[in-house]
Amino acid sequence: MSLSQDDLIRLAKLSLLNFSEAELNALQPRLNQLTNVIAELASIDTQGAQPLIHPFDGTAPLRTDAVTEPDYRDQVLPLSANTADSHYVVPQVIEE
Amino acid sequence: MHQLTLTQLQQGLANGDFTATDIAEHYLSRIEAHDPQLNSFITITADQALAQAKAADKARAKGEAGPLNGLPIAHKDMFCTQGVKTTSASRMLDNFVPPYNATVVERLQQAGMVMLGKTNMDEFAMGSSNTTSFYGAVKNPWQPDCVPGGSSGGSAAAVAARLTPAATGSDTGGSIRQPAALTGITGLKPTYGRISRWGMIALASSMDQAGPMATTAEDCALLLNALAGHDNKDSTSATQAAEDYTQGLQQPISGLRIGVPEEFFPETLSSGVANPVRAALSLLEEQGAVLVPISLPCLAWVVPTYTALVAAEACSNLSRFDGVRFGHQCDNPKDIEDLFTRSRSEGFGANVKERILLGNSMLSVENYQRYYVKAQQVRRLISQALTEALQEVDLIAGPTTPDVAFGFDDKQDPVSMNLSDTFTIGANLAGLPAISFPVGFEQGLPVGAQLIGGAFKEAQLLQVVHQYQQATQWHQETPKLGAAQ
Repeated sequence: MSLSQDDLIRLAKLSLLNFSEAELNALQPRLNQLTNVIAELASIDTQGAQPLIHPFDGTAPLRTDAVTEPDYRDQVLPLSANTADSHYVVPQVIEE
Repeated sequence: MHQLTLTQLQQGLANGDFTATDIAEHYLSRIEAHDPQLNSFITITADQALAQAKAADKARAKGEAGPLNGLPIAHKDMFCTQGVKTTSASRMLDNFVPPYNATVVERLQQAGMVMLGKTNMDEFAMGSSNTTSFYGAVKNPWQPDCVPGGSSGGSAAAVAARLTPAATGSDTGGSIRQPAALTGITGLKPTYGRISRWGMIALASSMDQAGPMATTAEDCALLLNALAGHDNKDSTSATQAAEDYTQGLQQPISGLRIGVPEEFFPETLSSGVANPVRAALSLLEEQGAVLVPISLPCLAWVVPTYTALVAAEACSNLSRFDGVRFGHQCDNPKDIEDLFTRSRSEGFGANVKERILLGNSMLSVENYQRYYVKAQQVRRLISQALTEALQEVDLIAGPTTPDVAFGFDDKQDPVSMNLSDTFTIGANLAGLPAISFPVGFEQGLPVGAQLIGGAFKEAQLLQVVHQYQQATQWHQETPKLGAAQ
């Protein structure tokens, strides 16, 4: 597995990250060092092994579908850099 | 006073030798004198600490003091603290003041502990050197030109320098144990789910686990008593009852079977690390333990498995940072995508961005089955091998790290950095508890040994290390700091 410059440009877009060409040039060998390590997995016999997603398999706990917390809006909204009334403000999304 | 352990400070408070306020003032003055050289704290909460100490003294006067009342603690800056900036050492969260406490913080606060401040770390807990923090690198108090390890490097350096008697840390691939080893302190990564992750800024959610860092196993046990236990707010929190982890510390370790995997002592391991660890194992043998040679070939797979999984989980967790609801927001975004992209690009450091790209690569349609699911299958095999080994022996032992603390200019490439966690990752993949404790020095730098136990066997790990520390003085060694205090 090897990541090309085009791969990195696509991944950067998917990741919502900007990189300069120089940054991508510096990143490419570092990422490919890591992908080379990951590629070692291919040689391991995993026939019959179920993926382990979580250290302890078990069912997710369920609780009653009831409100347990008060309204924290007044504490939470000020964490945003841009709010109006009780809303977050973002650039216009829908074209006029 | 700062040479006393948490347990000794507890005794001094009970005897009336000093007050919680005396202790807080002493440690705050040490932080003021020495932390400018170490950079182990991001935020120092002096006013809050003195207020909490005063409240603890009042509680004691009324006869309401619990075991941790009035004792100082520093929190890794990824545990949310109500009203106190919590950054995860990232520019992204430089302006983030949580409206709530993490369960870890809340439990210790309810127990009457006094928070001295928030400790430095690798950005978003990604790293083994504490060099990726937005707030600058942390220096190893034993040799300032060396790293303290990471990602809980600030907590480790602060405890080693006796700027606090104890701290909290988190461990995803070794982030409590590796810095504990590199700074000569004791650090426990409990079983996955033993301590609530609620309010802990996530790196890789299936491996992250909080834990105590202190000078002794006895102090770690004292802290674990308050930290462990089910939390409804964390759906992965274990429901097994917590226990009194201090109760069995004095028990002898006769007959305990300690497995020693040959893979933990490769030919490439330096004698400066291998010899002190083997000497520690010999001492445990003299104390009655039985050393059992074992083999765990699966340990060769832990680094590629961890590299794939941690990147995938981290990039998912970090997708919540969009510049809208909290955290860094770019100026004058021209559209919504520009808002997301520039906020993230300005807010995250280079190392974090690298991991996000790698993670998204793992989760891409081309690699998902081939590497991501494959890594989860290998994780199953590693977990099974460790669990099966722990049915034959009580504990698994070896060095915590392949080397002592390295220089700031060493290990620049990401693979070398991951290899420094090669002995610690297995416990995270399998969710098992593990502890690092000091067993000697190599060229003036501490060497740590690691014990891995069965699930929820924290008490046994703490007991063995406590017995070792009753017979040795390595945990009492302290670095000479620059400015006198």
